[in-house]
Amino acid sequence: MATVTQKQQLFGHAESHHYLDASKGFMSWIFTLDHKRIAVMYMFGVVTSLILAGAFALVLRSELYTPDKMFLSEQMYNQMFTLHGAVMVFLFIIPSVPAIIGNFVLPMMLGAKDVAFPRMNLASLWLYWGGGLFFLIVLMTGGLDTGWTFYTPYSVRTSTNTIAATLGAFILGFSSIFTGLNFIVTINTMRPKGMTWSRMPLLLWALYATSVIQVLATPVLGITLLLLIVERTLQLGIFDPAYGGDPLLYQHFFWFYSHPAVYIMILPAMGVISELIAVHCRKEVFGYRFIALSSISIALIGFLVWGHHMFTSGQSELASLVFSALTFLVAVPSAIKVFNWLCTMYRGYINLSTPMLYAMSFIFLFGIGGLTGLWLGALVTDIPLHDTYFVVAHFHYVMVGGTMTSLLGGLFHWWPKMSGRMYNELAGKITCLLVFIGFNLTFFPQFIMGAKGMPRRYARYDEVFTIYHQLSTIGAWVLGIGIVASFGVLAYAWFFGRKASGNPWGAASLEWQSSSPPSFHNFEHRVLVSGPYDFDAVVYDESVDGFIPVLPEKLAPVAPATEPVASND
Amino acid sequence: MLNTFASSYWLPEQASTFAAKTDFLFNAILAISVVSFVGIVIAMILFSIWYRRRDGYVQKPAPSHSTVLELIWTIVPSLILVWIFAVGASGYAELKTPKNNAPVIDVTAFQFGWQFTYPNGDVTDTLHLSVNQPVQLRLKSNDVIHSFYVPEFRAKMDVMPARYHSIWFEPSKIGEFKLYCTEYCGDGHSLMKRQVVVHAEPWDEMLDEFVKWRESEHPQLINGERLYKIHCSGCHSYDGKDMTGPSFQGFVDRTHEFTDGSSLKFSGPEDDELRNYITESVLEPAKKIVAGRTNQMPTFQGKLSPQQIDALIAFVIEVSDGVYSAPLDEAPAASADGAEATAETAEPAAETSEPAAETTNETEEGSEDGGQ
Repeated sequence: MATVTQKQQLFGHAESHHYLDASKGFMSWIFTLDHKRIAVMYMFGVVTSLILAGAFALVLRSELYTPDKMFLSEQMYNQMFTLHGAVMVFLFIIPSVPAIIGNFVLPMMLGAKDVAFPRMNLASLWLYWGGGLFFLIVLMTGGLDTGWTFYTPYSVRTSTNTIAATLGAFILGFSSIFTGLNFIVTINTMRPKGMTWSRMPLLLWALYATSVIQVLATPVLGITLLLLIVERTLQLGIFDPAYGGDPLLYQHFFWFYSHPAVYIMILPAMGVISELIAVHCRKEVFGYRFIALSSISIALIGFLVWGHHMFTSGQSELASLVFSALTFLVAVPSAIKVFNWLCTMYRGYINLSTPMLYAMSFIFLFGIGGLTGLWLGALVTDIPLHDTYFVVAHFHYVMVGGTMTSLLGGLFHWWPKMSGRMYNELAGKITCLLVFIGFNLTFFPQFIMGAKGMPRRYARYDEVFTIYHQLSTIGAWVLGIGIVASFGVLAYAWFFGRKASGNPWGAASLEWQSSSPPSFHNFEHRVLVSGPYDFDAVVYDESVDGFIPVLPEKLAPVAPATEPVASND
Repeated sequence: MLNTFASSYWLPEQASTFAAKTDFLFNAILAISVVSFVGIVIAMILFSIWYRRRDGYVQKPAPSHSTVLELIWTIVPSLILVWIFAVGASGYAELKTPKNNAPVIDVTAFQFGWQFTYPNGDVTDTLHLSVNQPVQLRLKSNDVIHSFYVPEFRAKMDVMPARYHSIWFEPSKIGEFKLYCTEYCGDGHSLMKRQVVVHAEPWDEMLDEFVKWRESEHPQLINGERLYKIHCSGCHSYDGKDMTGPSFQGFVDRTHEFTDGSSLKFSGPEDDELRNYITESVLEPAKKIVAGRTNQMPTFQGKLSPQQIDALIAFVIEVSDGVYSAPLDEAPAASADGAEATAETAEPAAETSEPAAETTNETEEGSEDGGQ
């Protein structure tokens, strides 16, 4: 049998010899090939972008406290909402869950040492920085006022720096493709013996589906943005009718990527939620097969619904009908997921920890976001609601209420693994509540004013909408404080938190079979593959103050810590 | 019941024949959503209370899958969704099938305003309609994409450059409504609003009373004010309010500074340079750009006649003190004045010297304080 010290080394808290102190110095970070360090560096970039874009949001929400001008000219207001949207979408939401949680957790869930192409992984991080740099250039050189959608012909004609911004988004697209490709190959080729497709954690299914979209859809964005740059510089006549182009063509191109991109944002979030609910309810996910397949079907159907962004654009009526029908098709797998999560909670052993609270708030917010999609998918009700605050509220409920709560929930859940420290549970819950209240206060009034006819992207508005805007502005500040406070709780835990054992939650997926934080090689022993939600396969062990795998007799004793099995690098 | 409650709280007034049908589906989806959402949230909260980790609680076994349940929650939502789609599609079909013989109004959108050209060839900056008279709007943009939206009509359509789109509706309520631009179009996007007036008069009578405009029948200044409202008011104020373009307040007296460093100062309202500058700006706006701004102004070459530019010049000089004082409209009683008397909003008799900045109808009431 393994001794207590061995257990401590393998499954407990690692004081030293972990990935964070495996090598030292600035260069050891920016040239690292370690997926865990890359995830941590992604986290810095993504959180910085979130704070920056969140600050833009607070500026524009504050301006909207009164119907008339307070401190932003129309031009400045337009820049604020454009930069808020562009930075949030390209630098925050799209990379958030896959690049942070995916990068950190995916190889470990497979019991692997790293992703299939570690160098490509580092390249994707550098491309992310490169793309971010272009957005910085945009900020310094007169900004951007096209809206994050870069609709032509306005984006061809505006005097702001469209080219730098589109180049930035183009480069970020490659970052996204690299990550996606890496994940696909990793999942296909590096699953350990015993982990069949139907024994994979649901997060991996979700990341796989996401990666397929990233690889197939992102090139279209790249082409579109390049054509836009060409149109601006050479005026070939592709998108601008002044030169013989067609603006509707641009919208088709743009949404052919940007609608699937919505699923790039939400699918990994759903995967995280499946993990959180299963672990914190200590119960096998209900309807595993249906949740897994619903991820794939969302990814596939997601390619066929882009036209629902264009019901009022003048596309053919037949196209609108078809896109409307296909849109409703996507609603079904989303509903399946929600019902299955609920059934997972039934007769669970529910630990109302911060990650679980985030998962529950995800169900609440995604429920509202998803159901309000019904109004927008139905043709006749979409017509008055299109391009009003109703749409703004809808996609914030899905993207922020969905993706951001799951990112936060996921970070709290995997924080012990990433940092080796536990966060303060009470502080985590309070900040979760702040985020939840702030979020609803910000965006729920927007449904009402949107239904009443308040158009989006308005710097000035009619007085009848004042009360809704004021509620929304107050909510935005609460939300902002809540988010900053959540990251504060996490940051505090990173340095001063209670030491975490390898598996504090009693989770059964493989990433928890390592010490916290994991060693450079992730595992110092042969991983024991059980079902991802087979919670009887782990047992609480007092000596490490956490859970350890139950060793089948024939496998014990485990390989000694000094001879890593998985490392032959 | 639900319908009346929901429409009064959530939705704008119903002022076209589409509204009732659209709102029916809106409220039906609202009911479906509220029921399913409340169900989900209640289940979630109850489960999190009943099955929370606590002393003495023992987890009971539960199935990990159930094909029957999965089928139920796949098929039942699917049927509901099919119904929603079908109702939405049938309403949409109606929206897209114009009534025969509906008169066509040509709508031109531009940064940042709208103008409406009626079958009689006249142009207004306010959309005049008759109650219960279906109309078809033929939309076209002069520059970037805009979108035509009147919430009370539940009608919206994007307005494209170099491409015609049509939209039709039948106003069912007399009153004044707002037209919004709902496709982001630049600096003045949120100011790109216009008035929509639905009159009680039948179509032909309405056109005669509110739309027909013969420039020869009005003093130059009143023609100028009308042209200002149609073409300029989207970007230029005359009360000093900063909009996309510079305000006309103080136009005669101030020194005009341009991005190329040059400047202009007029000796007074009769200075020829002033006329030349305005004419040049109207025809070739890019030639002199006011310092601190970018050129956003379209050219009016071929759109305004020399007489119309003269009228605009007269208007700009008049409002240079920041106030517009309308002259007595000397039109024969038969045309504009008679019309005003029957319009429900106008109260011409009481109007005196200072009709403040905003006037909604494009014909000016007969105030006595002549500006000339």
